[in-house]
Amino acid sequence: MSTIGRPWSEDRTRTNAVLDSPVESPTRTTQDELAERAGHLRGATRFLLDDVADVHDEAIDIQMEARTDEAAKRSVADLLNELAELGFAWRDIARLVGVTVPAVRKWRQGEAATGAHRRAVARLLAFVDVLRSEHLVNEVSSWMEIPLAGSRRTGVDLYCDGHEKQLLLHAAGHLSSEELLDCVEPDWRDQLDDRFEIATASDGDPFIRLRSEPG
Amino acid sequence: MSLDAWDDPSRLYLTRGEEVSPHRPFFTGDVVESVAIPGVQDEGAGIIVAHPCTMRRGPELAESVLVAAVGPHDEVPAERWGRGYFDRMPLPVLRGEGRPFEAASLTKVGLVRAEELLAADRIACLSEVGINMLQQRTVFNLTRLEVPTAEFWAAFAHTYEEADLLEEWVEAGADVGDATVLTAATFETWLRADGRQESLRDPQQRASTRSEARREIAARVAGIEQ
Repeated sequence: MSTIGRPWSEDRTRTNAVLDSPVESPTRTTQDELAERAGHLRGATRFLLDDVADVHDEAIDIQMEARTDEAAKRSVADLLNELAELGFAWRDIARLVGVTVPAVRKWRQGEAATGAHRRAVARLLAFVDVLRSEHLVNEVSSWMEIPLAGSRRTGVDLYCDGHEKQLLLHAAGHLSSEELLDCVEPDWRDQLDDRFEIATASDGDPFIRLRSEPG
Repeated sequence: MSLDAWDDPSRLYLTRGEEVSPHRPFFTGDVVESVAIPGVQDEGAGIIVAHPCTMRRGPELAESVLVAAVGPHDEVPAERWGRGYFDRMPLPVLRGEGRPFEAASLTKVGLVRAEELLAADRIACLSEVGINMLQQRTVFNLTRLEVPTAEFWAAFAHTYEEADLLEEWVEAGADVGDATVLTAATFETWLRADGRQESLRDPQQRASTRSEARREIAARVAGIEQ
């Protein structure tokens, strides 16, 4: 006879199973297994994420090297002209490449650059090229000059400090401005200074004043 | 408190010695040789300490410009300038590596007539890093108010941009032997039109204004060469 439809109390085995055995509080073994499997999955996922990040980093390196090789075929003056057409200031180009403004001026006028400097200029243009073509950054120069996350630090500053890859990850949306700064300058928040503000005077020129209320 | 110092002294300068472009407009932080500062010195080096917003009248220098005396100084390490010597602006490697240390005295200042300044030999132009530091020390010396150099940059970066673009504009004219189309006066007219000067105040619009200036320079050079 089927036990379906019978009161649970009439079927001691099933009733016991329902009432006496801890279905709503599974065995210690089951809890441990579940926690262990979840922990294992979490660990595996973390390792997977780390592996994916490593592969992505390597891919970025390969992409940047390839584009730098391509750009380096052109003359330095040509590379500089393209950067200028994109709106970069000469002093920023000099900083980004690690030389003085007069050195850049000489290259513009046709003086030869060393191999290392030629590659640095090519690398900068490759970086700009990746930002434009892969991450759809329209005005790269502006993008590089905008202060990040309410700080005074800009993309130009971070590139000069060697954080090219982190900037690319930021452009790709993998890092927010705050995460980018957390990653490269963990104490950046301590350096924020909101005691002053810029306002416009009656003569139309800007001036600096103390904030009436902290921002 | 601690005022800014330097890691690399050469970063205080945009150009020095023969690197100084004759086409660059006179600007805050320019160092000139052999200039008389009334009441201070009959002759000697001096540095322009006037603010960029007040030292020009359109494309021309103001009738007279505030200049501080520059002279030899004991060599003091960078870190000590942050906590002392507040009445001076350090000018390490002003005349090149290995040359004697010099400094500007921010208490020995006076007005120099524009003609005299323009005729003087310019031996260095401070970079924006150097100019911001000069302004920080000048304000602290006069008021004991410590203003972070980043604030000077945020407030007055557009004036450095104007100086850079003016130099590029005039230099392009000089390169093609022009004395009428690419001059300080024509730059001023171009810059004041269509809100370009205001655009330079917005960091987000600076690059496009630079690009526009370079297209304009190229068009004018092409017109001259035809």
